[in-house]
Amino acid sequence: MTPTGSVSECNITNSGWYAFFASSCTNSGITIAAENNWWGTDNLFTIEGMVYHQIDASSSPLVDYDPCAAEPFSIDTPTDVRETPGGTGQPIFVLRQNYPNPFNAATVIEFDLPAPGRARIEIFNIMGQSVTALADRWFPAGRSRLIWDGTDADNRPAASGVYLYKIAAEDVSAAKKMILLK
Amino acid sequence: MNSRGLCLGIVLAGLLIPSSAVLSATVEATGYIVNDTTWTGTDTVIVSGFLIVADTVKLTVEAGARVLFTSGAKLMVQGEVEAEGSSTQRILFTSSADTTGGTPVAGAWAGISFEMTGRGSLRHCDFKYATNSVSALESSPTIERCVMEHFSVAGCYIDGYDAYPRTTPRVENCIIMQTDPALIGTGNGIVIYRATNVTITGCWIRNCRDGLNVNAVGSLTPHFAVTNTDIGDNARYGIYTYAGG
Repeated sequence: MTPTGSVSECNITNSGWYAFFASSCTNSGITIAAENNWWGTDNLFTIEGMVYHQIDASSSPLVDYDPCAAEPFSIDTPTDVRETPGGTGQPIFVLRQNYPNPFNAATVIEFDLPAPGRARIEIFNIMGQSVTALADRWFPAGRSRLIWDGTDADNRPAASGVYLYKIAAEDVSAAKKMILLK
Repeated sequence: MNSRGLCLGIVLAGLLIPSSAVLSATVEATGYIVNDTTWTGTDTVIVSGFLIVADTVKLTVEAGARVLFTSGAKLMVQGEVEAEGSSTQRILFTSSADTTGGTPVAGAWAGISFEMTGRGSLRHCDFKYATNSVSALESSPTIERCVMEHFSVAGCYIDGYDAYPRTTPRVENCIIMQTDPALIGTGNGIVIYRATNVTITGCWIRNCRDGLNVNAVGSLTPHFAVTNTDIGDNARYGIYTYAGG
């Protein structure tokens, strides 16, 4: 017998083998609904290759997936204090690499703050000109997450190219590169 | 012998904790807990061997407590555990080797295991270096706003056995992630077996072997509902389901 379940409004990205794999079994049928998820891309062919289901093997249970999500979901920071990888017990300031990168429709920018405070996150083009400010407000300690949808301050689509995203918090700042491909 | 009788027998050889005890400072614990007990926020508790919360007993762990487990140690919950940390005073469960200059390894201690009659909740807790950080064996605990890392087998291990109606554990707003570069791609985020109905919401499950590893065994089939969860950078499958015959 097969497990049953549902997976919805999740970001399921960057798996080594398959994003979703349902093993072969004897009672085929719709057993798992995977609807409205973001798979790291909006390319349907790519998504199809990441989901192992009845189209791939008729003896498998059907993962009834609908790749309708066009961009990652904003998932709240799940916990209020994030330990550092080094296990010191204190969160540290980190600006993480965006993902996906390169990206098309949207990309996720994550950062960790050591303490609650105000932070400004801004996008610049390669000429150093400001494209848009994603946020300029108070953030909690630990991990926070923003999404850039590839539009400028006037809500117009930005051109393909290399962009910088920069965070400036209390006494610290950092910047990283990302690539928008259309 | 009923479980109560077994408890009393082992208490004589192990740790006898007085009724409604409020402990402080460094506490050593092993054997059975047979009376309601509180570990306060200033306590450092050192657990060795099996520490068993008997089936009619409640263990309360207050915000800020540190619970250290010696090699192979395990907290088995047959009664109730309520570990209620806070965002600023989290509760730490880790290896006793997780100290300055220590060399803790994944799987250094067995984990916290809710077993059949076991019940309770873990909130704002951090788990490090366990085999399975938290296990729900035919039981339905709530695990909320916890961080699990450096595990050797799984962040959460959930097995409903042949329980019908299915058990109903909940994992909410947790980070289950390997952060040690040497462990990335090892250990599954959440393992789900047999007759359980698991709710997972608002979690991050990253850098594991499989994000979710779901297994039916014969006619014993799990059900899972996952929403608003980030399952990324897992070495094998984001979600793996196995029919199991």
